[in-house]
Amino acid sequence: MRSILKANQLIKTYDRNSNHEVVKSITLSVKEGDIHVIQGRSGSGKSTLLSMLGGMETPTSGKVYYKDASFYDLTEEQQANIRGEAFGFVFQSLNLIPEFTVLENIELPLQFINNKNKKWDTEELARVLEIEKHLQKKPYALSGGEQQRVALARALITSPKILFADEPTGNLDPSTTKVIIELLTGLNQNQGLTLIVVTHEKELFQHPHRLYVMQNGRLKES
Amino acid sequence: MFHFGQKLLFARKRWLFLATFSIAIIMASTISIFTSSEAIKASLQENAYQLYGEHSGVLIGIDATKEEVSAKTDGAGQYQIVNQYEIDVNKTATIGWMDKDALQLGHIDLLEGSFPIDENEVAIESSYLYLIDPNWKVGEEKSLHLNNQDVNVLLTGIVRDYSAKWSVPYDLDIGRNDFPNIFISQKHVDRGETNFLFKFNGNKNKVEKRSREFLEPYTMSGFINQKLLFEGLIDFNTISTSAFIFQTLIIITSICCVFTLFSYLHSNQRKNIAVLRSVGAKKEDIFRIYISQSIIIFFFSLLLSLPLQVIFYHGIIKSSFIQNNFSGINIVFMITVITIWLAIIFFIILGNSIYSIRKIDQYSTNELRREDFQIKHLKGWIAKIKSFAITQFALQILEYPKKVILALSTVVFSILMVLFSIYLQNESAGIWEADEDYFLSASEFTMMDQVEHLDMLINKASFFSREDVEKLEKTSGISYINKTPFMMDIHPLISSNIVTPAIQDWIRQFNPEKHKYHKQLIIPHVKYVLINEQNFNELYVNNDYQDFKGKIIISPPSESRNPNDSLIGEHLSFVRKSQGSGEEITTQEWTFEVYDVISGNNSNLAFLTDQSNALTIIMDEQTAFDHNLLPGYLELTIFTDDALSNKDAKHIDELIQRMSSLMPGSLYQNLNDFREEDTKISFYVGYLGKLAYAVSITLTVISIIVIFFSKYQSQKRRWGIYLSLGMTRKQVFQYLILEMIIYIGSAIVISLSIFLIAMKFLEHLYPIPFYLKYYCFVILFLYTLLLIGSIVLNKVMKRQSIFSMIRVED
Repeated sequence: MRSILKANQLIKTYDRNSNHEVVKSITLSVKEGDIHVIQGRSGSGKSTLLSMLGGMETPTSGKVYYKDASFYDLTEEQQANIRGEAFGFVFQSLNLIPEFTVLENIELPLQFINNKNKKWDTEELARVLEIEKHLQKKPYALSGGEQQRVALARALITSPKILFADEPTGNLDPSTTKVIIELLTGLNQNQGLTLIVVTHEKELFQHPHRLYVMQNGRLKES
Repeated sequence: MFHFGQKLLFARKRWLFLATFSIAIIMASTISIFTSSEAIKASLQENAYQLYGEHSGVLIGIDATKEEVSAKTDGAGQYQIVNQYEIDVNKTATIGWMDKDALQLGHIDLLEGSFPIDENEVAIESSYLYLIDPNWKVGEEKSLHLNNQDVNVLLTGIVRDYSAKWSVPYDLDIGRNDFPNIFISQKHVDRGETNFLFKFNGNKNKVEKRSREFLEPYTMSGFINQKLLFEGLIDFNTISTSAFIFQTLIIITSICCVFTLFSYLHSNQRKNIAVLRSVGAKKEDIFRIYISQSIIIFFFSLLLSLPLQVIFYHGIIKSSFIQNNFSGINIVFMITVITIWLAIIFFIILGNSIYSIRKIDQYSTNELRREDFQIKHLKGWIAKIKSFAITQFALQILEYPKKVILALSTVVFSILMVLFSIYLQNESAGIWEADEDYFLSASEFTMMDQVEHLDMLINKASFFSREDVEKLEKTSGISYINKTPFMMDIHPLISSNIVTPAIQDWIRQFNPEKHKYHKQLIIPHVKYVLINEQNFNELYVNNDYQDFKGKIIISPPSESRNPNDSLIGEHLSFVRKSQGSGEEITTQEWTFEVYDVISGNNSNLAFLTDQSNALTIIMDEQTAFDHNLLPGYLELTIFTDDALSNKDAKHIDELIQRMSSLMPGSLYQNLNDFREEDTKISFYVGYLGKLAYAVSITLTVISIIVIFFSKYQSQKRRWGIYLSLGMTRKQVFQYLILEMIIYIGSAIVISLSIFLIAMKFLEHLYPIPFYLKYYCFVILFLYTLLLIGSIVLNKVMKRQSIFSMIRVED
């Protein structure tokens, strides 16, 4: 299967004067339908790497290719289109908009994309994620696990090709964690969703296609 | 703590620059407006002193010593009128002396030579010397006929013409209460009654008040230097008031800017303050941090304001009065006022810091630590709207609404400020349509008494002689002279049985009591026009001038009802009452036949202009002089040829100046210079308005950009989420710009409405579209600044990655 996402010699330095590289020359290739898990301690640079792969942080040097197109060389509008239609994000801090209802939060990406023919029906997606009763509520009225599922629903509503998840179960209890992981694995197996997951939990996915460990900005496959 | 405050401040270099730059502009504009206005005033004062003397007033013939006068005033100079010298039948020069203090107070300069020291030495005013003998040189002796004997005198100096420009008493009597034209040495004069020039220090109003109080016991023996106070220093109060108003306006708008800038700094510092609190910092420690930051910003701004002050100073001077006298400013006064303005600015900065500390006090350490992603509760109908765009827009508006309203009020305020200063500039300058070049008046005021309801002249008449005016008329380059005859004491009388409705209306308007003189009605407020044969032929193409000689033409006001010719062939009497050298009153009467009655509004003739509101009596010039109806002319309006050579222009100017220089209390106006002078003050007001607008609008735009950046920063996680979900940065920017456009659009509509309403009530010479043209420029300038600001904002925004916007720092 061909690569959907490639990273070539990615380097990230926040302070150009100090030359301290948060991410040190990382090269990787992600095939369509793969599950890639990146583990590492906090501060190792895994979130920065994920954000560079997901088109949210311009690398200091190196390239990120989405389907052979150098992502950061695309126009601002093309980048936004890919982020909106082909990528989905689940953030560690969820990043739900508190003023919007659960329904509005889930459908938020549809405001920005050109292709409005969503594969998922919102209510169906909510049902799958067991949050269908909360659609008219505000996020702060929900539990942590429910909020996490709302964030996941928002990431999936556009039927992305790749789902980037940064600590998707970081704040959840073991049973909710299990539900979320099963859901993601099911989407991977049934719909070919590519998953790139950053986590500090070693046993989160039982059979990832690739398992990396990030240490001091370097990525090692284990 | 000072070190910590400094570190926190320098960590935000861009903000520090923006704040320093903004405060430097505030300092530079307020200080330069003050220093330039003072320099202009110093220069105007010096010019006024040169023209009208520095003395506040004059005491004539009082029984007091110089020491006594000096003790009651802030300075005095003594002078004495000793004699008169008859140059010719019409011109008399006054002989006298002045002591050093008087010469100094009067700013009486020598063009050449020195003042006399010995007996039979003289220094003479330039124009008088020209009249006595234009070839008499300094160091030469000449015989003058004085007191019925010929006296040999040595000319030691030529004095710059001064006396004709000075204020004179109402009862001016040449040789008694005027000023010396021929100066002699005081050593060889028997002291009799002497006169004093006195001076009071202080501002114009204070000087006037003190002078009036001082002169109160000397009702008939003293007068104020009106020309100095009301002509030379006429713009003084306007300059001071305008400067103060615009300084205050700048300070008001700057409060908004400083408040916004510091709110941004302090909200950024909150987390650090929380950390400091958590490690034991007390309120006083935080206060010290803020104070130290205020001091650093203040001194940085002061430093940066220095070059800006020089630029603004020269801008103000060059755009208005050109002349300035920086060295003439009272240094102590200048330092005091500048210190006060700087203190005000410092307290505005400090006030903001104290306000922020008090605000911080309301929050717990934990609250200060928290991220800024606070929930906005959308009220009522906004919450029900399902449109993402409208909901997002409502969320944007809910961010810092008070600051936005404050900034927009400042925009409205700034726009109105510049519009009204342009209005003041244009309306005060007026519209000069006439093309006259000189205006001369023989006497500023005449004293009249009423005798049998007739005005009688009681002071000696000053007038331009017919010969001098004719000579001037014949001068090459003079195209026309409009002459006002000295006939204010000539009263026309009309019998009740022949009075026409038009004249009846006129009498009812100005002589409601219908006063009569010897059973005839007095026709009040009559304007006399004297014409010659050429003028007559312009008025009557087919009539014979000889038939008109010895008769009069009546031109009733154009708007009067029933102007008719029923007076033709009737006779009108004219009467003058005059006082001889003693107390006896003499009466002169004349009778003239009415040749014609003409309508004043259908004449395009130069000598019959401005007849609309006057009852005019037209008379043959020669007849008027032959019958001794007038001694000469009171006022002359002189028109020169359009294509006048520089040489002719200079010659005419000298000639006209000389005519006036020989006439104390006269008025000389070069109208071209006068127009230029008159527009300077309006240009000054206009420039201050524009400077204040430029400064306040720059500060406001900075505030708006900072507010929008603050809004963006405090909502950056929200924008980051949108960006991660597919929104483009362009769309983010569009949302922000749309908000800005709506706000500024509202400010424009509000300011335009206020201006148009105000213009409906204010009188204006220029039409409203004339001002709308300026309005468009003002808006264009505002939008240009906003565009620049937006580009900078966009650039800053683009530099932030989506990841950094979303990331939660803790």
